[in-house]
Amino acid sequence: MITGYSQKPKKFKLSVSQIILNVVICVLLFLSLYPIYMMLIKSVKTIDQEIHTGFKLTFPFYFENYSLAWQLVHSYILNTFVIAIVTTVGILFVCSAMAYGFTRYEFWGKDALFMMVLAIMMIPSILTIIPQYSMVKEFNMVNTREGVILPTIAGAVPMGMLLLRTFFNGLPQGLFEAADLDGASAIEKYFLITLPLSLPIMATLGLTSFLNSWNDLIWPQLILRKDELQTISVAMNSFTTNYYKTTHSYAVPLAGYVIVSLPLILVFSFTSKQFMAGLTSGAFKM
Amino acid sequence: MVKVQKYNKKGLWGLLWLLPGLLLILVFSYYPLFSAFYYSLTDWNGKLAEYISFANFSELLKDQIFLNSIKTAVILTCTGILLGNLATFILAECLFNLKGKRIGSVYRFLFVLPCLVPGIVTMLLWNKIIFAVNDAGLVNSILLSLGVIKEPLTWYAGEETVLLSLILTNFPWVAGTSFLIYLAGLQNIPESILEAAKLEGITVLERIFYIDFPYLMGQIRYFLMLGFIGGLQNYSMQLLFTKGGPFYKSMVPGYYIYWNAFNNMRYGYACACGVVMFVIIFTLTLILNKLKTSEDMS
Repeated sequence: MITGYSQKPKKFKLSVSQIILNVVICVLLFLSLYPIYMMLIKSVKTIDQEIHTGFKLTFPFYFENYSLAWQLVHSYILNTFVIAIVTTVGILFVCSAMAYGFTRYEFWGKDALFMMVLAIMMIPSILTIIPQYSMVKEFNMVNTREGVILPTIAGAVPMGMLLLRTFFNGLPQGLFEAADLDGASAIEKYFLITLPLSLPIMATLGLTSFLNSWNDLIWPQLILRKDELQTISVAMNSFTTNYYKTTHSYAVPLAGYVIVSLPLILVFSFTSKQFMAGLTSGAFKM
Repeated sequence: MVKVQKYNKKGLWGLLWLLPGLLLILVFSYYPLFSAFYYSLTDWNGKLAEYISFANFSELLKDQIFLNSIKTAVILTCTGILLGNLATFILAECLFNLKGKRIGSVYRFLFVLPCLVPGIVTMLLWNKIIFAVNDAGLVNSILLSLGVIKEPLTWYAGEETVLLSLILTNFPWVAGTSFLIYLAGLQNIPESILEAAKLEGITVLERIFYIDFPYLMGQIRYFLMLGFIGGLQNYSMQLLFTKGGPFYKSMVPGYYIYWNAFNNMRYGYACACGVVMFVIIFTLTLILNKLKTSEDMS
């Protein structure tokens, strides 16, 4: 601004308000990260250390907890991954195809169909969960991955479609007209124009879908009764309780928590830029 | 005109793009919806359904557990929305006013981090470590050593403390991605307005109330809508830990429905509870939408 010429001395001046801001943020950060810190330090304790110095950092770290926990939880991670990946890809495909149909075509009854899709957002899942369960049971999909995946995709259709449609509507019309002149087919326009231009919003939808599926609890625990199919959300509670019953220790379950937390943190580290860009694009408002 | 005609010929192809999604929602959303309405009028145990007209609903209206569960859900939802949004808004304001780009993005990354830990793990940490009932619980041990309490508190297991514990879970409620959405709203305020305000000598509080709030209305409505719809239906903690207890103190409609269907085999009655919740949530959504349109007109 006006002080543009005297930037150098300003750089070293720390104003009081900036210090206060940093302090407030750090306090919030400390409190938010504290449970994770607890999880980390308690996961490397022996039973003896856990009883006597429960909340303090203790040395040396007892990493055997991790190898034991890995044996107990690795199959749940794999199960969760399979379900979350298939669900996410399904949501991206179904929602983008639908949004494409709604933005690039004109046909009789389009508005009615659009309203029909949106109306689902008004229906609480606690109303439909019971008939949905009895239906999935009729289809013999209890204890199958499809029984979790298909209803989850269906549930994500309205919000995902709406998000993508808004974005597709904003794509420059001229590109599609040019493609028409070049004789591009609808499928080419979908794969070569729409999807590449929509990467940020697709990444946001993909990541939120992945997160939701990764954390989904109620529906998977109704459908996945067999231990060998169970996801992290379904299995961790009974795993903790059973382990505590026999050993009176939380160290190994906590090591398990750290292990099951790592995949998502890794995924996020690689995609955080896209994710943040999507969330801060201003699409999330009403 | 030419354009419209061209589109009309291709209209059928448009339907083809919609087909996978339409099929899924017809089977997994609309069919269960209509059957839920039908089954709410029946005595259904999961296999046989006998039509009993409105008997489920007249029983519901006298069902104190159900009526109280609505009250509990409203309390939990309203406090949750208020505290959660206030906290994330404060964080977003802090980050927005922070100078220094590098440190800002580090902060953002760190605040998103806790929500990458699976939700179940966070809930288990609060249950087994932070609010654990005995003196091995973190908060209990702190309070005991400070001498604030003599006996360890029972938190989720106590009749008096269970609701407070559910509200305090995830304190300080800022971690996640919501603050990013508020932050995006703040960053979208035109630079010229903020500069003009600065020249007028406006205080920070005045700026928050007269500039930031009006500009964030879209985001606030989004969170209100999501918060109410999601909050009134939420029952993960009940399902995992409290089972609606002790003495139905933490019972919420979502878990009551689940419990009636899958523990008591009263599927029809559970559907009737669902229909009542549908009416409540639907009305709320309409009211919130109404607020939106009247706001836009003024």
